[in-house]
Amino acid sequence: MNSTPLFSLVAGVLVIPALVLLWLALGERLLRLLPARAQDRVRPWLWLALPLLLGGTILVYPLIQTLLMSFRNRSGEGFVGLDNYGWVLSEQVRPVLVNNLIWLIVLPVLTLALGLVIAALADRVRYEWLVRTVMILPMAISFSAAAVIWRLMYAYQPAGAAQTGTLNGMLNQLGLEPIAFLSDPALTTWALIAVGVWMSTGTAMLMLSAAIKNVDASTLEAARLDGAGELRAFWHIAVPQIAPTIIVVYTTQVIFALKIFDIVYTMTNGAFDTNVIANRMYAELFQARDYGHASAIAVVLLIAAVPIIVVNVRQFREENAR
Amino acid sequence: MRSPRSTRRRTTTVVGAAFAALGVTLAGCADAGSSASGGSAASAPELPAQYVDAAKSFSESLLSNGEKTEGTVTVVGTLAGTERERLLSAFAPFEEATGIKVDYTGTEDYTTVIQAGVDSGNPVDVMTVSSMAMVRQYANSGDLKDVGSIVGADTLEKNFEQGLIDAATFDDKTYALYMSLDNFMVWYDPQKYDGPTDGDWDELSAWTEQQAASGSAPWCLGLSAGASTGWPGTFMVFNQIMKSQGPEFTAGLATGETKWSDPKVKAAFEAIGEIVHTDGMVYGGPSAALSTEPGAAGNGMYNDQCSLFEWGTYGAATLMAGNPAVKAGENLDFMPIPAENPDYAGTEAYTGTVVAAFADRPEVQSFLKYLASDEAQTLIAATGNYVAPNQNVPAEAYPNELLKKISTDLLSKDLAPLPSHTIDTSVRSTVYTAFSNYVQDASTLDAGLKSIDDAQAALG
Repeated sequence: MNSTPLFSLVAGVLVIPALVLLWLALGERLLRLLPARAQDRVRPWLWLALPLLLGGTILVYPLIQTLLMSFRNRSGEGFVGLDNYGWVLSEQVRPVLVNNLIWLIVLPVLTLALGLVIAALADRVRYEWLVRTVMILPMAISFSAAAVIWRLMYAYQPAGAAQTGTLNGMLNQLGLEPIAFLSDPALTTWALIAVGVWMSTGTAMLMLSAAIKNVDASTLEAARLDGAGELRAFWHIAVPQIAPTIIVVYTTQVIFALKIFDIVYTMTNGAFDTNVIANRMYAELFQARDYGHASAIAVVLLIAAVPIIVVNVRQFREENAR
Repeated sequence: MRSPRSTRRRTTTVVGAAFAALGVTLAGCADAGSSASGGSAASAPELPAQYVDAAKSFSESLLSNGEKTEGTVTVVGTLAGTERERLLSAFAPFEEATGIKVDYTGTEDYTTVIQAGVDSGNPVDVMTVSSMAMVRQYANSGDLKDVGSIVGADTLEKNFEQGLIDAATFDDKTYALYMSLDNFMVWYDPQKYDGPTDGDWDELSAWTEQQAASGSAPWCLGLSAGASTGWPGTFMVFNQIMKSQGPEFTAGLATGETKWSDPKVKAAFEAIGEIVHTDGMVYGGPSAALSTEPGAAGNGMYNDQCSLFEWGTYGAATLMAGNPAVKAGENLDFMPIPAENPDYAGTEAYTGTVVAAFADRPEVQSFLKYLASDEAQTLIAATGNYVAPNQNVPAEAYPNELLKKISTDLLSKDLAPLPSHTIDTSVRSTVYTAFSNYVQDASTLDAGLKSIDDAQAALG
């Protein structure tokens, strides 16, 4: 902890670009010594070498390291075969996987549905800017801060006492009993998912709203002339046209749900049947210091995310090909 | 068409302003709701000038050639808000006299922050934590410096009771020193509370049952603490284990010798569980306990919600900071937790803040010597948050009679560490979760205890 910020700044702003330029200049100089044909073959690699090195160091190397560690014991020394994976599927971790499944199914569907409805409705009103601003505001808040805010929203006092939580305050006004949102196992996961939806609906709406603006107005007009109602026109004409965006939004939210951590950690730390896999990984890594278990969870998470990433990348390519 | 549009724009502006106002109002309400926890009003206390001057001149004596030096000591600890300010006020004379800057980070996630630093080969200089298990762990891994040789064995022996030195000694080297001590006790308001205070568990139980039956909740309980939700109740269980089974049995929890599923451990959980789960025993019942922060729950003694509150030494300072009407000795007093087994009536379970160092640069050495000194520990006592473990600290250093009483009471007992202090932090966090689940649903106890055994077994 001795390096001063100034030193880091100088290194970052001056030394690294200088080294990159030096590498390229030297490389080009050397390339010129080669025959023209060989130059064309080698040049891309000269320029790609640095990004590849960077990506390799910060992405591929840790990935391989994690994979290797997932077959080793808690301290990362002895080889234990598939034990860690057996543990991930054991009774100890299974309830956690079930919770993740709930997140995985509910969060993307809710976010998408809300985002789509709000985007479609807001598109038709003059104060769309206001709707968008309000919806996007939560994006400016970090997840931990949002979790703290929602702890206050969900705060519970026994019936009869002054309710300090916003939601229970409202229930109180309606003459209803207060609800312990954050400690009733039947409710808590849903209460946490609601926070996730609140946080991500804005992004979804923004992307979908951009897509809706690109829907060809003449096709909608044609549908209306053919006698289709507004709902039908939207569902059969607009939605197919924005399907690529819907898939992107959906897959992004699925990945978000897979790796959900902050909300759960900050609000319950997994108590009351709310634990999720990323929180368990954190506990294994930093509290139990079991690198084997933590790595196995990381690998399982990665494997679960791969199909979704493939769909996402394909979609992206098709969009670009068009 | 011009005029309707401009009206419309005005309406939207009004709506926008209304939204903003609503937001502010909500934020205001929320703030009022949490302020009873006592963490928000951060103001450094005024420490007595004579103690501050003594601490300054001691700090000056640490300088090799009498000239101020430079450098920064990074510290990771547990405190935030008012408690943090109080601690920093005890460091201030050292910083002023030596020119060394103490960079204190207080975070609930200290285990993670410290572990990540060690893993990356760039550890913090000093940790001030409530877990001796962490000291043991990093001493075994060879990451810690020998604090005993830095401060000097003579100084340690002169300033600290042998038991506290032994607790931090692994393989003949002392890796930590105690910066503060605290214990759990039963707080009450002497102006209202008329139950027994003579330390008999059965009498107290009978009184609480009678209260509950008459419709006024005897116990205040607040378990909500973010990622550590459940800890205050867990501490009640730990004290129950200590005062029913004794120090030896309790010490076995840290080593794995005593199983968490042991019927005696389970009985201690059930003793506290009975308080939580019996109708009318705890203000608001289990759900309220799980949703209330400990400081706010304790404040219930002053709102006619409940009359007994089991919490730590720091409770005095926190309750007073959270509610100006609370005056030590007047309407706030305490009794030791009654021992279920009279054999252990003289035993008191302590926890404390221990200081250990990952670096031994000269400025770090000076800081450690400062923290061990009578002068610095006198300031710790004067902040009114804790008992100072240094036995040369004068009793009049404590800012009120209550703290004075706590310190003489604590230091006169047979001290044994509370399990929270000695069990591995991963096991500890599993206990918190298991306890919270148990409070929520009594049928989860066996599964919870097994999950703690699993966490202990996983350590190998």
